Amino acid sequence: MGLEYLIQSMKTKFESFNEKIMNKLFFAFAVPIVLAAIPRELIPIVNMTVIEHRMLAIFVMAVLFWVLEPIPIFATSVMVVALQLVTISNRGMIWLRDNGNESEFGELLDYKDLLQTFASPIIMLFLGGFFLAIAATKYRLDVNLARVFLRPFGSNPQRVMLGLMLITAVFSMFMSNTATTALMLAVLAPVLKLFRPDDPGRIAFVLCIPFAANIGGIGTPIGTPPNAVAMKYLTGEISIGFGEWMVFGVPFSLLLLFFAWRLLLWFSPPQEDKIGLLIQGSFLKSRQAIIVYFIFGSTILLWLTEHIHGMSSHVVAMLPVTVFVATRIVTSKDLKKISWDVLWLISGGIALGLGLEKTGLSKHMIESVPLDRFPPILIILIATFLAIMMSTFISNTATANLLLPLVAALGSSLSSLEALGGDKLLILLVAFSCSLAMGLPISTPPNAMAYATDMIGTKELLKSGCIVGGIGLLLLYLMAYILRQIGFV
Amino acid sequence: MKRYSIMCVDHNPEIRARVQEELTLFSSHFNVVTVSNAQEARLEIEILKERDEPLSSILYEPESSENQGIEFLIELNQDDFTRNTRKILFSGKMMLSDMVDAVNQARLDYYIQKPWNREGLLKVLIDQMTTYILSHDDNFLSFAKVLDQDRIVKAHVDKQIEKYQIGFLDYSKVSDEELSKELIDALYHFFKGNDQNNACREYGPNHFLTREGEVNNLLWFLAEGEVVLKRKNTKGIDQEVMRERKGALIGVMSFISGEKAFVSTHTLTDVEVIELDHAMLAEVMKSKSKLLPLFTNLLIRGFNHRLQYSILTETKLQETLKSLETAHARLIESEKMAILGQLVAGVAHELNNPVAAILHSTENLEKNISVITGSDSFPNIKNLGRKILDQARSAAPQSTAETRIRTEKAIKLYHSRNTARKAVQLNLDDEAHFKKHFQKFGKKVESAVEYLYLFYQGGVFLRNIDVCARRIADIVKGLKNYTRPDTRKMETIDLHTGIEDTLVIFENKLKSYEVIKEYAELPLVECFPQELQQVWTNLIGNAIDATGGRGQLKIVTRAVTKRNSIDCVEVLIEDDGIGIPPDLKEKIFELNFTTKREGDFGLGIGLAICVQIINRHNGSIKVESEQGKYTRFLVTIPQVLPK
Amino acid sequence: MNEYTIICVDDEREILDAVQYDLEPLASHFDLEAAESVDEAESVIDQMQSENRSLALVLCDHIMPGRLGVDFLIQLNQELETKKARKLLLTGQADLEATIEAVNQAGLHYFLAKPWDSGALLKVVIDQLTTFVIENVEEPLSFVKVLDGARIFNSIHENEI
Repeated sequence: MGLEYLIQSMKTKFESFNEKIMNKLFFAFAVPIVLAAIPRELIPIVNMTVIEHRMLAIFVMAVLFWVLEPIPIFATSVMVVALQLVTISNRGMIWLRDNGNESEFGELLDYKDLLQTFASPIIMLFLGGFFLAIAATKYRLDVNLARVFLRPFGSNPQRVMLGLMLITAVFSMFMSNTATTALMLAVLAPVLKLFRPDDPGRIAFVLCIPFAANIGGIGTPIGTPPNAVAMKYLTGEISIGFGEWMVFGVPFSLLLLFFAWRLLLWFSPPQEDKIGLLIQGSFLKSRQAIIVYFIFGSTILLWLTEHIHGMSSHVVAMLPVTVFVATRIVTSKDLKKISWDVLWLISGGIALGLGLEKTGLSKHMIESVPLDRFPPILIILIATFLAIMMSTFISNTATANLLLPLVAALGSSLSSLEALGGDKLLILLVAFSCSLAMGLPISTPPNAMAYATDMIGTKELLKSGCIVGGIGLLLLYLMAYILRQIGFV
Repeated sequence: MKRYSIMCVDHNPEIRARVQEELTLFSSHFNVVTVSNAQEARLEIEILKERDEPLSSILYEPESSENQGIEFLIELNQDDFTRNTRKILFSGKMMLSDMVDAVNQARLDYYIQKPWNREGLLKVLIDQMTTYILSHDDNFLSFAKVLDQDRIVKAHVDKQIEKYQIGFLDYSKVSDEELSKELIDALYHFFKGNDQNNACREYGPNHFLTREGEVNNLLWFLAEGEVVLKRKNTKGIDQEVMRERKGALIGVMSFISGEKAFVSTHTLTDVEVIELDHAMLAEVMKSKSKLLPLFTNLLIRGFNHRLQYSILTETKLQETLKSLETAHARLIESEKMAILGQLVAGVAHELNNPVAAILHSTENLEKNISVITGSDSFPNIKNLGRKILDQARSAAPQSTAETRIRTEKAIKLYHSRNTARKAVQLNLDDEAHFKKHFQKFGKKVESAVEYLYLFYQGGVFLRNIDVCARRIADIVKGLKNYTRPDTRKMETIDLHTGIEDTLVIFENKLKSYEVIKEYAELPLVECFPQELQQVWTNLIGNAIDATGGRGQLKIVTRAVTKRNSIDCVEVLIEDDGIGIPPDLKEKIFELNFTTKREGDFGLGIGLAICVQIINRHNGSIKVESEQGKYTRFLVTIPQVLPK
Repeated sequence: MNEYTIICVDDEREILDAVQYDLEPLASHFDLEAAESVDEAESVIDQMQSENRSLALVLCDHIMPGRLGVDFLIQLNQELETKKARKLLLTGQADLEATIEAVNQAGLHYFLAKPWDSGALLKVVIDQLTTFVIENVEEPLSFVKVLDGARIFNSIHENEI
């Protein structure tokens, strides 16, 4: 019975293992293929060209792949670029390039533009952020800063929590939310063990870290990928500098952080009188460490002072890259630590946006919906709400990738929005909304990490996360109002 | 030659004539006088005094009427000249009172009753006169013709011997040194100016006088210097026996007995010796007989010294032997203790597992019990739980392999491998049981299985505690046989018991071995069980050492009948280790042979002890080995211990 | 179904039972397999590999009938699929020589002496598994629950930038 049984059981296991993924994969491929096969005339989008038709199929496919996740989300990004290159670029398959009638066929995209998304300025900006993070981690700047910054908060649990949240938020403005959360949870983990199992304070402490990381990410353009994607659309007239972003981003973060702090304490008040967070270590004093400190400070300073020296944040981002590589602070080995998946995820989003915009599909899609009839405020509400909902279930970046091209097109084409701040405001609100989703473990990597500690349940996360997200939305509208009032948008 | 006289006193002339006639045969040596009465006799004795012819015997017939007869004899006894004369009464009848007086006061020697016969008279007279002559004349030998020849010759020999004896005794008060000095001086004196054969010699040191095992025809008198006597021991190495100084005789034994020299003798210093061969010695002794007793005496003293020395040596040897035996016994004991020490270390390891298992089982049991008693989540299956506990406690556990195979199957029902595995261990993994017990729980199947699993674990832990405690008991029992003071009690046992006990002790080391046991039905054997266990321990320990931690150990037992129809039991212990080089095969049983390294068993005298133990059992131990292939020890022990 | 497996090898059933009990808290994330000999452990590993499950940790006695624990660990250390597994000896009998061999040739990660302390055993195994997860698992986050969370978070922090 041994061998036969073995083979049989292997078979069934393999099948059950793959069944779901295969279904998803089939579905995610079948729908866009069917869509591509349907005659253009049957699709309710006016004036749709062949290229647009193909782009639509790709877009639908991207939606399905990012939502169902039969393959990693960054792989979907790469696939999007690849499919675009093959089907709608001027160096694609020769049979797909032209069918004679140009007005009906539409304009092919420049393959260079598509490929350049992998090294777009925004990617470079992110890369600069990564280099800062790598160096800071390598030379333990982050841990040491956390140690020093935590000290003033004493040992009162509430204040310690505030300290943790502030530090987490500030760090995640310049480092990835994931790395920041990991760092802070590592710091927190030994302390969590000291809590009595029935102390609700444990839940508050575990939740405060991912919330702070999510919220803090909003503070800068490189704080989180949706911001970067948003930066891609904030060009030309509506462009925003690094410092400018922070001017409203940071206060927003801090304010929401404060609310989140109070909320968590209210839901799960810690019962311990004292909490002792012990972070070991001291600032490194080697030559390279000092270089790291210096470059870290000056890069941020240069980012904030763009208006003085005129160097854009993308250009400034090359400073840490260059210096760290040259001084061997970041070695080729360290380069491997860079989350290329994040960068490629953004690239795919940018390429998708490029396709939607350049083919004119996004414009045509928006035009096909009678949005004019809706009050602009409702449009804003729907857009932000959609963003927060989508990113609760799928990746924030993917949400931004899908929504922002449409939102950008909407903003520029919908004149009624102008009164409320136009596309600039809408893009910012949607980008912010993507970061406000924190109701489920799968919403963001920081949430997943907190959930992995097994100290919080989905229920607690859902309750606190939704409320914080809700407050965030409200604050967002308040911010939009203020920004409009001061004439920023 | 001196003349003696003999007298007959009798009043009857006829009798006097007859006695005269009968005593004529003495006339060559004795003057025979006959008188009629005591008065005459007194006169005659006075004449004999003058002529210095001592009266050897007197035949006297007392005068019955006058009652004077005994008076005369008493008179004789008081006179110096006649005191030792043999006094013989010669009478028809006697008064008892006279007789008693004669014996008591006259020291009567004999009584001849009349009538007499010639032979009788002669015999008495010869006897009495022989006695007289032997004690009064040194030259008694000349009377042998007429008197009792046998007695006289014997007396002569005695006298001669006495003379020799006197001669030897003469030296008894002389010290060895003086004696030898006298002899050597005498010899030097003898050879002075007369030493054609060069008897007086001088040698330098390291000159060999005798050589062990060679014929020696010379005798040396050591006049000056020192020599050493050596003898080769069993290993052929010269060992000093003794040293001799001035005055000693060298080469005596071989010289006299003609046997080969027992020792080698060589000089240590410059020596002066008198060297004699047989002829020269004879010559010396012949010409100076005075030296003979001296020489003999010295010789005897020499032998005596040797004898004393050898007795002393013997005594010392015995003492040494005794202390050696004690030391040996101690060595055996310390070997035993060394093995014991190593065994204890091994056993301590061996105990680790069961002790650990027991500790963990009790600890886990505690946790389980508190969970089981504290939980009421599945009251319906509590009874099932109890059944499972009993089952787990009494039955041998499933093999892990079986558990695994069944788990694979059960995963379909229970979804999680973990739960499936537990259900398998509960023996509730098949579909029927699943439907009966678990299906009703729906999503809570896993918790239900977990709950029942607590019971299962409880049973398993109880069982493990039991199994492990038993194992510890076994090990301790095995060890006891070593630690128990040796009672030297003979018992009749099955040899397998001892072998098995030994294997328990070594279980730990033998884990990585393939142990092949080919046990035959064995008769009970009379033996000293503990001693034999020491043998098994040694042989198995050696096998482990020889194989370096892994390999094959084969133990074969069988009952055999030897040629001389003695029922025996054979135990064969074989390993597939490094083997024994052929040139060492004989040596391994020696006391001072060892190849042991640190960490090996025992002190390295194990096999020597084994041999002794087996000899005590009248058994035998043999070894066969091929280098790099195997070593096989065959122990044969008779079924009945000879008394 | 867990992707990673822990194998305990000991010829003594009682020890296996106790060790299995001690490691029970890990059962949610690791399959616990028990084997009574090296040969059995090998067949378990073969089957695991055919099912795409990999060996995370082996906890092995040294002196066992048949093959020795250290030899088994050496063999595991030479095979690509099992090289990464954490290798622990749980023994009361390994001599210095065997231990040195295990360290030098089997890449022994930890030596536990019998009798052992349940808490200490679990702690060591958790520590070793954490190392394994950090070094070999793409998404170590799910192991935070049962392993050393701080170390896993730290590794994420240091490696995912």
